[in-house]
Amino acid sequence: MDTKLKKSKAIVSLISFFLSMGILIATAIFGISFLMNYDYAMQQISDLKQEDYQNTNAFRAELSQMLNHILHVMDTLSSSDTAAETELQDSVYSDSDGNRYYYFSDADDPFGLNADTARNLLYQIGTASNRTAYSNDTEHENLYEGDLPEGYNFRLIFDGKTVSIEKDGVAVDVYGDGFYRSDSGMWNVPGYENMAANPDYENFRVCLVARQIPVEPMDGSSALYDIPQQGRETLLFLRIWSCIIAFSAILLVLAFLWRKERRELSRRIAAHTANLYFEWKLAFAILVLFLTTGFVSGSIPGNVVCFLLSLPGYYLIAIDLRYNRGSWRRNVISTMLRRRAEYRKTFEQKLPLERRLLERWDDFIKCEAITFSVGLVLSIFTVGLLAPVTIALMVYFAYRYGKLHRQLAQDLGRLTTQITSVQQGKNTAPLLLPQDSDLREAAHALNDIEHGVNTAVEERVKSERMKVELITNVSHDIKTPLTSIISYVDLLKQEETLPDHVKDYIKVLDEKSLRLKNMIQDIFDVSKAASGNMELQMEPLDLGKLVRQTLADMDEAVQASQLLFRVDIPDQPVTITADGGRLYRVFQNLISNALRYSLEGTRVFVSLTEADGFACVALKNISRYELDPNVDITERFVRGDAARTTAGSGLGLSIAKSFTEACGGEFSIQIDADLFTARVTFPLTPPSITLQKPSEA
Amino acid sequence: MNEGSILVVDDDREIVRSIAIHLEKEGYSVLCAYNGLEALDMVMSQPVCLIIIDVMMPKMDGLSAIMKIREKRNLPIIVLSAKSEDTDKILGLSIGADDYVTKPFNPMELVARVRSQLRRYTSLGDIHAQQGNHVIVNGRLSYNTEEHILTADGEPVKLTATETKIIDLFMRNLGRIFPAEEIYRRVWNEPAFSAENTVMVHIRRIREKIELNPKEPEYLKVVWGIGYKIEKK
Repeated sequence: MDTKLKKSKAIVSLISFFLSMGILIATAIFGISFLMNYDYAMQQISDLKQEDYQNTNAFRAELSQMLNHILHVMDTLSSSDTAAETELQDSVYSDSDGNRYYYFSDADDPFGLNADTARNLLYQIGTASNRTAYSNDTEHENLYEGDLPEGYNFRLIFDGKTVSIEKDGVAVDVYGDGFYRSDSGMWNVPGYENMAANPDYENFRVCLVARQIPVEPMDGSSALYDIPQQGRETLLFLRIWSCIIAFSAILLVLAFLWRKERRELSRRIAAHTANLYFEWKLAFAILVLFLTTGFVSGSIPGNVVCFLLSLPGYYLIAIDLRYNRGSWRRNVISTMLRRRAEYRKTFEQKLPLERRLLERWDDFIKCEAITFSVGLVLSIFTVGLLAPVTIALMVYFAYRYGKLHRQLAQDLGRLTTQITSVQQGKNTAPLLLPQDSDLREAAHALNDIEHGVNTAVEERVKSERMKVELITNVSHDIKTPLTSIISYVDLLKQEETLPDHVKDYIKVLDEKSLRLKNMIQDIFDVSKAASGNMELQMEPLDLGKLVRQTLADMDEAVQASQLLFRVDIPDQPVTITADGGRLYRVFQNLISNALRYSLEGTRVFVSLTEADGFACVALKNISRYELDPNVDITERFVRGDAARTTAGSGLGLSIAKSFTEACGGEFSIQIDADLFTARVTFPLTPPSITLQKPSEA
Repeated sequence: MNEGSILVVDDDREIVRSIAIHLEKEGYSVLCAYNGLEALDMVMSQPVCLIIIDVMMPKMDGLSAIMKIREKRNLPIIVLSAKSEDTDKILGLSIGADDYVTKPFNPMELVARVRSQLRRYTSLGDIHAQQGNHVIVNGRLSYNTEEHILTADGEPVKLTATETKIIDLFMRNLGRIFPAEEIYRRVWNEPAFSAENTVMVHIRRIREKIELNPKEPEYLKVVWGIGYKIEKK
């Protein structure tokens, strides 16, 4: 019920809108025509106010024009008798204002005045000698002079040169200041200074007498009777029209009040027209334009009907323009192209990437070729009319291909960037390409790989951390009993009454427990360094000095050994950035290694060289044991001697390697037969970062 | 020798016993406790002059016990711990411990540290009294610049002339790092020749005289790759 009411409201509002707009437009046209003939229209309006029809402009015009006609006919009759009759028939002529008049004359009624059977106008026409040659009044001998008959009060006399008028026995001022102005409503009769009487008319005499109140003729027509009648009709029309305007105002109010419903309806209609092709709309608009301009119908009512019919057309165009923005895009060609694109897409999706790209290129070439050839032929037939369309289509295809290609290039760029960052181990957000991207699957796969790598790295870090925790806990647990062992061995050592062989045993216990202690610390250190949990105090230092200090620190052991140390370290500072304490451990381990495993009596070479921005410390010695070049002896617990009889913890090189790497250096071992070379390489710190200088006291 | 006993706290009874034996051999009287709560009771009820306490113990751990004890008493505390990380040491010392010994430790070193702590504790007044313009005090060490005498824990250290020159240089410039060449130049008044080895030999000897554990020096340190210094305490 409510929706029905709403619907009817909308329809009423719509119709009201049309009607009121139509009326307003008609009024506007009427107003424009009024303004264009302003003087004439004003004369007519002033006539409406006149009670006495004889005072109207229309009466003046009618009588003036009648007189001019009579004079014209008289002139014709007098010039040639026989020809005149035929010539007078259906005479049509224009007056000086350009108005056209029709008089149906014949021999009996050469002036066309006898149709007035009511005799609202009496006339006597003749020459100076015979003033009453033609007359429609048999009762009165002479109307030129004397009293007028009963009921008549107006007399116009033409005396061959001028006109004199008498109304109710009073003379009327015909000529005013003697100059005729066409727009002033003056008597349009000969005798003005600027419109003198034709000299041919000098002999003619005319007398016209008008009835005070015109009477309706029984059969026939009276121009005089029509004058007040027409005035009344015009008045009636104006009244009706103002009623209509008032009505249209009410309609407009209605249309305004229910504008919401109307707009709703408009929107619904627009929703229907939205799906129409633009071409249909264009054709419709042209048709509506034709209707309005009145090409269809020649008559005035036909034009009005056409105009009214065209109004809804304009309405439809207006709402389509308003609610369906960009509806021009929905045209036949674009729809065809879109359908084709959709078809191609579903077709392409089944192909692998490289086939898809090749297929796309082929398609582009085909499109261009077909468009060009078809367009060429059509253009020749249409004398170049379709050439712009052809060119536009070709440009469109090129643009579309370029767009696809550009999109692909962008996606490819993003994909390679992502691959690089994944390869570098950067933690980036997953790459999301648009749904229709050709590389979407590849990006998806890459995201999976990245996820997998990240998970693996996380797991490894986690397990490494767990390993460190395990080693920490284990070493704690070992340390406690070891503390007791060391303490009691120490107490035993202080016993002096023990036999010598027991003292030997105690010495072994002492050595081994201390070795165990060192091993535990080494295990702890190496696992921390390897897992990257070691705290470092990185600072610029002199690598040469560090090696010299380490050698000095171990000087006793070096002197005690059977080895000769050949040290080649430049005097000038070799600055690198590292944790000095850790690096000391590296060289300490390397030197102890050399001391422990070198063949007696051989030389150990320690050298420091600088090259290409790197400083390299090399330590070379001749191994006492045969080394297996296939074994990585920097691995934890791997030792040069398979029997593990010597005193090392098996962690020396491992610690050296992991500490070096933790400080940002490189550690390498080279085995050439018995020649064992350990190299520690660090990037040189630029000279701008100066060595920590001891401040002067 | 001292009024009061040394309180040894550890949940491992064997360790407590061995420490007790070592300390008693040196003539100290020893009290034993096996967790934090017992230690607290002992401190409250007995005359205690020094505490050796383990960190990881049941009922109340060592660090909590130290904090509780520090609220009541001001006496030297040596922490024993299996944790050897620097961060653990810093935590222990910041809570109020005076020294930190990691397990497994050398019993003789522990005894030396106990002695050092007790000396400083009892002779604190003397050190303050000595303090004048010509005495430089740095932790366990104090150096008289007039008399060129170095004392560790109040005990004079016997140094050779060269060693005294080196100590003089370091003590007057606490915390400053000296390259071996500079030390050589300033001590020997000669251009440096094989400075590193010569200086290192002397450094090692001085360490044996002033450090409780010469292998892990606390005062006379090598700054690897740069030089040598005495740590400012």
